[in-house]
Amino acid sequence: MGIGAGPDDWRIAMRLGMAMLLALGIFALDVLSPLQGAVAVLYVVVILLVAREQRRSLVVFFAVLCATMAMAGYLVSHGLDAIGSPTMRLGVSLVAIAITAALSARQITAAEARHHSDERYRLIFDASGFPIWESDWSPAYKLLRAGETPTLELVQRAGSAAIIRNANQEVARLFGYADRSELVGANIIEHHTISAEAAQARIFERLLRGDVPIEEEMQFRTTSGELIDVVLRVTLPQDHNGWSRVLVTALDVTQRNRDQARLAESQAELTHMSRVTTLGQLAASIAHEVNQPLSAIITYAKSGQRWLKREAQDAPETADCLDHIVINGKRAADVIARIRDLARNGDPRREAVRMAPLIEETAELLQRDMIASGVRINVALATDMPSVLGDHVQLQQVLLNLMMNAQQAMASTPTPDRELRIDGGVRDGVLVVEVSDCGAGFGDTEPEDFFRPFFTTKRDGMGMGLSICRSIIEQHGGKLTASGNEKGGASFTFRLPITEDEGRIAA
Amino acid sequence: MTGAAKADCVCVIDDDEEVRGSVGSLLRAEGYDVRLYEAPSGFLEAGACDVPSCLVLDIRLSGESGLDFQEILASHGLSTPVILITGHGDIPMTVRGMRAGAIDFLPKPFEDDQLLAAVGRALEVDRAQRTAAQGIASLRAIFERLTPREKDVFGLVVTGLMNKQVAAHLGLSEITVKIHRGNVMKKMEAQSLADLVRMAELLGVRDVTIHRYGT
Ligand SMILES: Nc1ncnc2c1ncn2[C@@H]1O[C@H](COP(=O)(O)OP(=O)(O)OP(=O)(O)O)[C@@H](O)[C@H]1O
Ligand SMILES: [Mg+2]
Repeated sequence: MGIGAGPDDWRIAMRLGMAMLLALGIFALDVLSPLQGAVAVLYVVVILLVAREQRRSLVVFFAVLCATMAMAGYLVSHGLDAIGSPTMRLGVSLVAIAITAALSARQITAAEARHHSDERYRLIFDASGFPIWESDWSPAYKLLRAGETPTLELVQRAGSAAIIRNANQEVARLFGYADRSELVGANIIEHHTISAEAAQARIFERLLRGDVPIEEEMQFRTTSGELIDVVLRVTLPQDHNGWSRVLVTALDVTQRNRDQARLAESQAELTHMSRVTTLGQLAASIAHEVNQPLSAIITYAKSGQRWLKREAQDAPETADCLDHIVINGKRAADVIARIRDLARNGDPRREAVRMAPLIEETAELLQRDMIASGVRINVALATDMPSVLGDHVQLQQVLLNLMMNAQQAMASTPTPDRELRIDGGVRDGVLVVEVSDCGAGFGDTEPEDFFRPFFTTKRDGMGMGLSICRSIIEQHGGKLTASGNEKGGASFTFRLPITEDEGRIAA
Repeated sequence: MTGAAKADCVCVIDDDEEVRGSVGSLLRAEGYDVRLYEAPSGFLEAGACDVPSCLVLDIRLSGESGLDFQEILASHGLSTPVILITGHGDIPMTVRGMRAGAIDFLPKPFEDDQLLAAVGRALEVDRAQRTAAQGIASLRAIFERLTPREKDVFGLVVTGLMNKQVAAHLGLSEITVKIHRGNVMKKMEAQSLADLVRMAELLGVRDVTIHRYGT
């Protein structure tokens, strides 16, 4: 209890004065009255009165004073008579005074200690630098105890009945108030968003299960209408008394989330750019892939005209021509759809990707290019090639990059030896795909170096291929590694977790 | 649509099933006898047609080059005329293909008329080759039916010797040589000595005789 201002001092002085008067009154009674009782025991009341000031020194002082007065009273009344029952009564009074003083002093010490810890708590609460508030959620507790389920509707009802008992200045800053006093006694229901209410429902559910501490990320709307991302941590003190004291701390992760989003965005942009570059390199192959069905369409159409113009028109042959025109039209459209997929600049998808067809389709796309550079592609896939969960375009990008790197690495290998192998299968419960070549290999360079962004040994290389491949594989929960192989070339291996959701996507 | 002549045979080698099928349909509509192959090996196994024929060949077959195959054909003495088709124009390859004797070169997608014209030309070439080959064969058959003496006289007459010189060479009378010479002209259906000389060249007769008499 701090030393108060003037009026406080006065009050203390007055109370002490009254105690003093009481002591004098008791003394007078002790000396003057004919009572044969232990009047001096009444000094205990004086000490209890003084103890209310919560100062040990005062208690000790008055104890000594009262004891002295009791003894003085005895001497005045009885002088130095032989020891008798009055002496006994004095003894009892002194013991009573001493015990009362000791108990009061102990109580004062304990109160001081508790006061210290309260003070520390307040200091931490106020000065912690991040938002903390203490709320009364007992309305919610009562509703849930009564058997209601934590629905959004209940959250709204309970939320508007909740009361903030205390909040530090950081809470005010977080929600956009000038001072924390605006929050104390109110609640934050008007800052809720849908995500906050859903999170609040989860918090109630977990609190009910006793699953504390709880952390939930949610969005709030500040007084200025701005959306903020916040991680709430909710704890129940031991003496929460039916959720009437719930401690909530908040971490503002708006900036962190924004940074993360920006990082992800630029990475996606880079991945997309590299994919488009790859498409450029494949232009000749793609032109061929589209040209073949177009050529078939034109020829079938001309042929159909000729079957119709014959002296004996031939309906079955004409129908056959039309069928094939349809087939090839679809084939051309498929090729274009695949290319458009590769050029797509959208969010990565999460779907079951069947790896065997993806690998074969990619090998086919590169086939022409490979033949032109004298490379044979050898695909050896296990019959039980599984699906993985992820984005098929990004996974195809990895395959394209690895295969094109292998092709480029074999540029100075004697033509008959230019072989690109793709092995695929399941090992230890994960999908393993290995792309191997018989090219120059790694030389003295550490294979890990090749994964560094912008590391390239090619004149027109960007050096982003492998770094992008690795980040794609890691985003899919897998690993991409490089090693030398027995043919002196390089082998790139990626492992991916298998999805349970086998074949959810039809071919 | 010129009817009977169209029983000619056209072979198509292309690894793309749809392109192969479309070319096949077009040629069948024109009445050709069409044979489709996915790879050169199939064509070689099937053997040559016994009617005028030609080959439509994709220049870039997966696994092997059409051009290499064109050269293999030539080295096997197969004279089937070749029309090259290609997915996307590749100038150096075209040059090589034409040099190796291709009738025409068509980038896909091609006009039907262009392909049919090329096929027509290729078949004409093959027909001419076949007629020439047939002419020599029948000439040889007649030659083989000459008597040994007549063959001797034939061989010497076409070297430009006079009847008298021939008679001296063979130890015959000039009149006998004259009769043999008349028979040769008649049997070989030669109008003149020049005719006879040309036939001797086709049959390689003169070489043999000169060698035999060591002149
Ligand atoms: N199969 C391989 N064999 C040998 N060296 C390789 C192989 N794959 C990649 N490298 C080395 O790793 C380097 C980085 O490859 P990366 O794919 O990241 O970039 P790049 O191919 O040079 O350029 P780009 O960005 O166009 O793909 C290459 O320049 C090459 O030196
Ligand atoms: Mg690369």
